[in-house]
Amino acid sequence: MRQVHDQLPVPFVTIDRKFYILEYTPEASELLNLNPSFLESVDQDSHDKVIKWVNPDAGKVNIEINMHKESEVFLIDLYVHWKNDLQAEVIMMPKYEANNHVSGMLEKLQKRLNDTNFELLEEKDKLEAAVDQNNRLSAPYIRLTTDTALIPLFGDLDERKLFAIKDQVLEEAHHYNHDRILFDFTGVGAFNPESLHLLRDIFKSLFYMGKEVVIIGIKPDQARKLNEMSIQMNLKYMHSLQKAIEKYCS
Amino acid sequence: MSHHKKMADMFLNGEEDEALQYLQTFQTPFDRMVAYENLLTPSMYHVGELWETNEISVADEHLATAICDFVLSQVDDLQSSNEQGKKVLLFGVEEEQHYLGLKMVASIFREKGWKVRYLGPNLPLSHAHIQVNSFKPDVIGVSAALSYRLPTLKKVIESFMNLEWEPTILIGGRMAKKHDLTSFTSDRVFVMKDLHDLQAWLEEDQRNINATSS
Ligand code: B12
Repeated sequence: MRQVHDQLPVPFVTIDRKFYILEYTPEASELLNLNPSFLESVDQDSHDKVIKWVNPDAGKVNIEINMHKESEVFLIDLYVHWKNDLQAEVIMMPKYEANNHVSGMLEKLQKRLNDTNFELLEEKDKLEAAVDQNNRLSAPYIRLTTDTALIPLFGDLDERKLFAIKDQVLEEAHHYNHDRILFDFTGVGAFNPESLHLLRDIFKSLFYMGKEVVIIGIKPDQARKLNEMSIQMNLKYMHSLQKAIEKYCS
Repeated sequence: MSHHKKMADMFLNGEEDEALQYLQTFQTPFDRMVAYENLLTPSMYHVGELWETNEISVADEHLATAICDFVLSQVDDLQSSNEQGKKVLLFGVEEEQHYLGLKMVASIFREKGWKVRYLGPNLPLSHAHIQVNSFKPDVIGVSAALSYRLPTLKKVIESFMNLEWEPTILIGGRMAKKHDLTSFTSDRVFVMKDLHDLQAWLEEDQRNINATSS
């Protein structure tokens, strides 16, 4: 393997049929860490391509392959010409100027899209946290007496809201050890059928904890829905909060 | 002509609407995982084969990638479940541009109700750590295609081993298919060669959750 200076000023080698390098230009040794075998500088996953296309039978060809210098890998246009049956002249033209510019731009655009997406996601998370916080506040736990607590519910009851209040209701009921929990539905708008099972879960858990559940201020259509939930539980209903307080807090 | 070859043709011709339609009629009922694993992935591998047989250039691969990405994004948008689940953060190692597989993984997690942070490819490790520490994911998924990224991958995995909440690490991408990465594995680190592996892991994970919560 010897360096030659009388060739074109491009990365250029002459090789034999077994891919051993016979001659190379300074430009070639600048581009690659030249080893006796040309294949050593070819990316493993481009070997088959080189073996298939760089042989005297294939003749004059132009192929794209990946080559590497240490762990840096790059795309190359390979121009091959066989001088005779034993020796080929090979020019290697790196493609990065043309390609990398475009792919770099593409990558930048994709990154930006992704970052925007990401920022939106973060905002969404913040909003969701605010909604959850709001939901928890719409079911405050109020200690009326040592035996009785009141949980006034506000707004529409959807799954997300019930999900948010479930844990805190159970925790507080456990912590304060009240025997009786009054749920005031006066401030409740609609509740959708999907959320009913969560409501049932809450009531059921309270039962297992030995609490008495009293439901107050329910509207007729809500009563029907609660009824449909067919809970095998002994829920007490009272018409108004005033009555309930008279009864349980005097 | 087989499905994935037809699909690869559409990718290479830039026929995004046709490709999307083809994907949607490819199977009934539609299954995201099957669409990704059995159609989109083999199509892109076929694109790779066409490059190896000197029929197309890397410029064509760029176009094919863009179309595949489009189709994938459309499928991903079809339906998103309400995210109540666990958190996963996904990225490709530094100097790695191959991201299609990672994007599929993000989509599968999303479908299963996970909260997904998809950070894309070519993410420097220091950036990854900032995101990991603020998001505190239960699972970190890393993708690498180029064999030259083995040392980087190793560094990335090691650096996640001392996070105090001990997230699970999933390694995937072409590297996981072509190279033996078993030396990376542990009770917290899993190497996955495709979406079937991921699906199996997700199902196992779900069983464990059910077992502890009932
Ligand atoms: C398309 C393509 C490109 C596109 C990339 C598109 C993109 N942004 O993703 C472009 C043109 C940009 C490109 C660039 C390059 N590429 Co390229 N590329 C390909 C090609 C043809 C297909 C890759 C693909 O999209 N596969 C489809 C996806 C879905 O498959 P997948 O990644 O394996 O993912 C699956 C699983 O692995 C899994 N998975 C993936 N990630 C994860 C993560 C987790 C957590 C889990 C659980 C699972 C999982 O999910 C998927 C479904 O099963 C391959 C050929 C091949 N056979 O792979 C070459 C290939 C990977 N590229 C290669 C090379 C060398 C390059 C370049 C260096 C040079 C070049 N050719 O321009 C640059 C790399 C730049 C860089 N720094 O990364 C070589 C790699 C050789 C090697 N030694 O590693 C290959 C093998 C081609 C070859 N035969 O030489 N490439």
